[in-house]
Amino acid sequence: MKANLGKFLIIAFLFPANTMFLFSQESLSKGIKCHMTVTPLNQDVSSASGTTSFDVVADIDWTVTSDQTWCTVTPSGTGNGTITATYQANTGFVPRVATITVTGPVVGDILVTVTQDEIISISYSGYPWCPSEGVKDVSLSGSSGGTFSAQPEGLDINPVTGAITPGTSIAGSYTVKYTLEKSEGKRVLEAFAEVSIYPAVIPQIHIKWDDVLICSNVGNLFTAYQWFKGPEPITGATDQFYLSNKVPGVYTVMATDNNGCNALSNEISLGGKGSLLVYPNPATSSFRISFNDVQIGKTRIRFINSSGVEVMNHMTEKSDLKFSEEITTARLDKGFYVIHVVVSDVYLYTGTIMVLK
Amino acid sequence: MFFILLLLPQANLQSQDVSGKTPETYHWFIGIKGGPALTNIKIDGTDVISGIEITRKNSYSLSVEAGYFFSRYIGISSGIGLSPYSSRFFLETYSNSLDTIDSESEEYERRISGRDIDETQKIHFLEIPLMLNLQLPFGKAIGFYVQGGINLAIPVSRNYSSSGIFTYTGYYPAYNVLLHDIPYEGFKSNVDVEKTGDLKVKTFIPELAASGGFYFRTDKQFQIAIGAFYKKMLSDISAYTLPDPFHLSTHENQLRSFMEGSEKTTACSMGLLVSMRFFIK
Repeated sequence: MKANLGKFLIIAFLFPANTMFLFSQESLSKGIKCHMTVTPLNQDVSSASGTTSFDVVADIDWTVTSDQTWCTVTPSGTGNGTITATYQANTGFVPRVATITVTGPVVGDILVTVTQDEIISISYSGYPWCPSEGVKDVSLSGSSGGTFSAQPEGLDINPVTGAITPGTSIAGSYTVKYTLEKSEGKRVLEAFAEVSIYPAVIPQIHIKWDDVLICSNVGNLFTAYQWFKGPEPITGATDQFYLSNKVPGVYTVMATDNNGCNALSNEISLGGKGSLLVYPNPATSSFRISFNDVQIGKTRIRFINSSGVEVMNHMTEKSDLKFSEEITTARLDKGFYVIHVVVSDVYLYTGTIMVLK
Repeated sequence: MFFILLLLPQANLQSQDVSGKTPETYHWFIGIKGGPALTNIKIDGTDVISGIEITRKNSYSLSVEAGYFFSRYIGISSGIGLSPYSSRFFLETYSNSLDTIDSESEEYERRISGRDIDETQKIHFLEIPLMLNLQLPFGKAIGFYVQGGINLAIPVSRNYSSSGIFTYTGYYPAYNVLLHDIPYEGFKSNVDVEKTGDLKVKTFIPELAASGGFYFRTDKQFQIAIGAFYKKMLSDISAYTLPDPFHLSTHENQLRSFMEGSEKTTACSMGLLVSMRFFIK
């Protein structure tokens, strides 16, 4: 068939994916009607290497070329046939398009495309993370706009940004998934990353002799310590215990656990939060100690004489906001006493009592 | 001196006896003897104080005696003597622990370690001997003698002085913490501890005693002898009841004697002996 002048009629039909793309041309040559149709108009393929095909319906000879080296095609055919496009893996983080030109006499060129997905990947650095660490951002290679999720539940992850907050997450290992929809949701790209969070180990401090602060380390959970008085670290106070010398203040310890994670302990206040109500004062046979505090638990009331010697140690339980306990003077000699009240190992209150007999 | 003593009898043998008595006619005698000694108090320490280095110390032995010879060869004697026994004990390192409670009634393990622990024990025994005397004369004025028997040893003074460097710490299992160098419960490090005190020693202790050597009769009534002696206590001299467990020291102001931690304590002495006897009847 010999090509001749004629009019071009280009008809392009665009159909939804997975149905049919049709690109067809007709022309007249010496009164003979020539026809060639190539479908679909575009083939979406994954980032991996592979092959895809286009169907050719024609009554003429045709040739095929590709404008991209990563995509090669069967060079030619006659009449109805199939164009096979062989594509290499896309290792880039952007999608790419190869245009395939199907050429036939009289009908001219028909252009179809192979659109290959990009690769996407996500990663997080520095995990496992300590609960005390700040927000961890994702490193995304590929197109943004997807959503982040994690399995199992318990990981505090921002579904849009992928940022993870270790401090509000449950300790454990997670798989983070990044999902990117393509072609209006008809195709989905996914990327995965593993992360993990160490369990939170909160140090507990106790006080002995109203002076020595001890960080409990049962189970050998901690390897290093730094004591604080208020917000300031105490120079040289890096042992498991700290001799406060009864210097008033609020004490804490920052302990480093076996995972290298730092955590701040509970507070112990030395010097008293306030005064006790002690009445009657002076007392003869008994007196009452009262105070209000939210702290509840095991309560120790110590009586220290004027020589600084502890002469009586009264244990009781504080189970309510208001504490009121009657103390008999039977075990106290006549004299002046300083009262220390410690609730749940937190030195809270001081007071005095004069005993008359 | 030995040479001189050999010469003395030769001179005396030349003397004439105006009474007509010969040396064999004298039976009763009194005497004095004494000499330098090397004494050793030996303790058999428990495991916690094993490895003690014991050094014998120089001393002396001094006694007076009276006796009776049944014949030229055999006799008996008794008397009273004084023998100081002394030894030095050195323990390079020591460690021990005990479960106890602190001033806040909280349980903890008190750990004690010590080093360079040096103790000297000294016991003066008053000895009452009952001896069998054998003499084997080589000639008229010289012979070999052997003396053996039992002493009743009575301690008249008994003391020890000890020192060492100790560290006291407290392990609290409730917190898994070892407290040290704080002004509570005596948790101190490298404390120089010194202690002197009395030893508890049994009131009466049988003692094996033996001596032997050469005697020289300078005249019919006077005899001088030189020899060596060995004495050994026949029973445990310690009056302590071994505590279980034994702790050498639990606080800085307290340091027990090694003898208190000994399962068995014995003593022995050896030395030279010079004796002089005067036959009176």
